[in-house]
Amino acid sequence: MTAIPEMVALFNGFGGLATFLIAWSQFNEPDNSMFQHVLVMLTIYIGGITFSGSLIAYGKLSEKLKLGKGSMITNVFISFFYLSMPALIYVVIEPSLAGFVPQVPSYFSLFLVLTLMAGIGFVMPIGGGDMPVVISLLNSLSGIAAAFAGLLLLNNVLIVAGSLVGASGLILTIIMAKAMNRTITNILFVGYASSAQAASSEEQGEVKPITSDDAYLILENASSVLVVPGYGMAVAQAQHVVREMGELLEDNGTEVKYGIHPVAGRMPGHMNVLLAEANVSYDLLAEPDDVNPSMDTIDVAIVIGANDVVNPSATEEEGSPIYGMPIIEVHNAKTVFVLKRSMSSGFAGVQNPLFFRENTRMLFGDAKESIGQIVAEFKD
Amino acid sequence: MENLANIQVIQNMIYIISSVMFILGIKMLGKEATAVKGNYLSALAMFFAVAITCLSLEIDIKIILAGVLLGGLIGSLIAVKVK
Repeated sequence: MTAIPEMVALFNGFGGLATFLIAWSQFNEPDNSMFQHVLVMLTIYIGGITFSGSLIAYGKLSEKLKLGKGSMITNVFISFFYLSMPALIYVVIEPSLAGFVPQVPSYFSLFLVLTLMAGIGFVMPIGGGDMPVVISLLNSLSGIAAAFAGLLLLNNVLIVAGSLVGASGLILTIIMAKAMNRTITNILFVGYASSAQAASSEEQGEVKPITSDDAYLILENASSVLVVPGYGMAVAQAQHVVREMGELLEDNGTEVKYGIHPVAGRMPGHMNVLLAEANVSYDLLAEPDDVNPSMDTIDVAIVIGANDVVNPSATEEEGSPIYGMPIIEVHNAKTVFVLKRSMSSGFAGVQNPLFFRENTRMLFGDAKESIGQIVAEFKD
Repeated sequence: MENLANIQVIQNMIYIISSVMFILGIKMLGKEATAVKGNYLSALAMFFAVAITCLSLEIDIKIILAGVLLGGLIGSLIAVKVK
């Protein structure tokens, strides 16, 4: 289930490629009206950007592509992106320019190449925790391109389906941007890394490790437990043991809830998909706004492979790159267990002061094994 | 000629039905309890839409089938292989 975001990115890309090719073939039709000409160019632009952008998103998510913001190659591609916008205006008005300015020979082929380069430059500088938002935006773009292709081919159902995908993708993008307390332009053109220098005041201290035996003893006496999953649960494939532990806790008279942050994981709804796969009841899932007000009544918050969405510096440390992002405030719970493989920072590359808190216990190791041991203790 | 006009009417009616199914499907995706069903509903709607479009095209059905087979094979391979 960890590779699903990559697969979604790839499928979006194929959708973009299909519309790109449709528009290309329509360009070669003999009697195009002005309306069709504009439509062809817009479809090629959006479809092309979706295709190459999705390929880059795929590479970034599968960690095959390590280039990020600031590298020379990225900057070259970003210039292609900015260059592509005046180029789009030029190719759109090109037929009406005939006779006024000298024509650029084979401008159409140049435009095809430029859009593909522009898509690379569009996604390349975006990284880290912003990736789910980009996937959702590319999904929306592929829908818009399909709707344009529907107009070109005069196919009603393609227009309807494309508009639906485009609109719902856009709504989802806005919801996710709001969940990170940032605007879409900020995510696309400013990015995380630009403010990262300010976060040098890293909090350090002792971390308190705990064994799963001790964790079991605490959990057995807890009356309310909140599970906060993240990408790490997907990596460890721990969703089934998590559900098993939740059921055992409930049998023990403990109230169990799952706190799902909208941008936990690497695609929209990643955690919901995982927990649904493990048959966790939907009523147990709660959003940050539902759990945060009553956080101090929760005995144990179990953070499974989540990092940035529970980072208290988002609310406390001004100047942190993720400052202002609403989080699940597990640090207000009486005890916090953090299941983690090592002390590395999250996908956003920000150190997490939660690990050094008084009430935090670190349970190092593979999440599936750790929880498996707790489950085994419960069964004894 | 009359036959062709008939197909046009049927095609557009199926398009409308598919569109309604898309919207219902997306609405169902919004709730976790019905999300899986909603996904199937939208997929079914897309199947109807694609099928009726293929029937009214003047392209050799063999070429279309070859495309469907190839695309379906690649898609299912990726979906099965995904971790």
